[in-house]
Amino acid sequence: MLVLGIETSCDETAAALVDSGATILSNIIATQFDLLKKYGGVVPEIAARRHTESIGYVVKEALDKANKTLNDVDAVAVSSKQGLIGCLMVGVAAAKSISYARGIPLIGIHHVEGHIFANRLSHPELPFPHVCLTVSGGHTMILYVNDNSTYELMGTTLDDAAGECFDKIAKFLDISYANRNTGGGRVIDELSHQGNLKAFNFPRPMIRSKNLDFSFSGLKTSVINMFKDKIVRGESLPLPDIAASFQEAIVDVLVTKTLHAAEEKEVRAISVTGGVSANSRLRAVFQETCERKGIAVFFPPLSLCTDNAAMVAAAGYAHLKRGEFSGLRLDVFPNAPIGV
Amino acid sequence: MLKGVGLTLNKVQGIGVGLGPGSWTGIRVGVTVGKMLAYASEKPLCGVPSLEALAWSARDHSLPVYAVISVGVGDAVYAARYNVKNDEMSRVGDYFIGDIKGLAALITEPCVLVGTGAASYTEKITGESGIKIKAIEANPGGAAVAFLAARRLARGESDDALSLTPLYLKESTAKVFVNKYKP
Repeated sequence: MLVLGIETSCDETAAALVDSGATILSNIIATQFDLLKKYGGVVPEIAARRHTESIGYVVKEALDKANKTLNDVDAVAVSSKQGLIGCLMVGVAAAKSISYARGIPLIGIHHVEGHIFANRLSHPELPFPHVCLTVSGGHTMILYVNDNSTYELMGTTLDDAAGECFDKIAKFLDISYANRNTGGGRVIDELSHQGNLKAFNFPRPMIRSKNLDFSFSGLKTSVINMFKDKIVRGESLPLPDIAASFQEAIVDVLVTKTLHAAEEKEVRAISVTGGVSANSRLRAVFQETCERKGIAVFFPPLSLCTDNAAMVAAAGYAHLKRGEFSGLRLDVFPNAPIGV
Repeated sequence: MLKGVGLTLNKVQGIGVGLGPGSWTGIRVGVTVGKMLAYASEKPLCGVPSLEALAWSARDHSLPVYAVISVGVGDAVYAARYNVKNDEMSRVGDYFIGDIKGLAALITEPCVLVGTGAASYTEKITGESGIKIKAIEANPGGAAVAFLAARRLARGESDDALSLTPLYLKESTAKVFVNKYKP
């Protein structure tokens, strides 16, 4: 069963071919990084225009790379929930057209469910039930993953997503986008290697709250205020120390809360997905803490951390197997909830 | 629609798609559907400017035709002038984007004005210049797009499905801002 996945929820135009939800035959991602860097972030209208320009080429490349044609494709899956509305629409319009023209089933996928499948795709041994932390520029969620089809939302961010916080601080410190060739999260990760993570004691918002929700806007303000204070006082600005201490605060909150969730549900496995799961410090602290507690922790390979269509195709296959399709009336839901 | 006329996509020999200008999201969805349908069904594709499809509904008049589509901001409009000769339409001059006053300055002879809200545009333009204008209320329709596309396809012309993009005529607001303030 060959599923074509399409993903256009934010600033990556992606298409992939995945066989039986397990084998990636191709995974094409056209990033808009170079286009968007002069704006310091994602501009929805500009991103949506680029999706329309790229989508056909990206789908064709996914087929060519896998040495397949549309004749070989059994179904098409597309991110239709959660993302920028104008961007989601392009992927959904493309997927519907392919589904209609080829007479193959169409499956709308929740983008976050896609991220959950990024780990299941790379680690078939991932046990159920487990707790999944999905953390990226768009969301920060702790989900209890029961089996193939049910999710329970245990906690989410009340304001900024963790990845958004990384990007905004990098932008504020003027160390990303405009003058570098990678996103804010990666710049802070790299810079932190040369910094002292205990140099500044930034707040760990909601780390002791009784629930599993997150809040990162206060941490962002704290870093910005400290930075401005130092400028006013004419003190030096040790960027690597700021980056490392800031990153440590985020990592601390993410790991602590995810472990609370695992303990609450008494599960022995944690899955971490989304763009921020590429962060080297987050990986290290999770590995170390989970090892101590006898919990297995899983990360996707770096190629499946950020937005991609292979994860969408894999999630699509799971729905297909259960006979769950979307009709041609499939609509987009930019703020669709996941789980309950 | 195909079901209504007892056809399937198999019987369709070519696909025409309205390129805009118009609502940015609207034309983006339309063009994406057009190009991906053509790609997936391996049928020839032809993009038709929406102003041309609109002007087509005024083809029976011998006067010059101004097709007008609202930008959706203030009284700004997209417009273009077409001349009709022997059932053939050709655009004269560049596409226009601006307010009604600006459009009025371009209209120097009696003509037909076609679009949604044609009567109110006509009233304003005649008020500015006193020129006699015939208003025709119309939308750029699928039938006009299909007809014009079929004509181009019959002449052996077509567009590449993968590279076809909408005719926005305007840069996004963010791009305008950045180009203006961050040279």
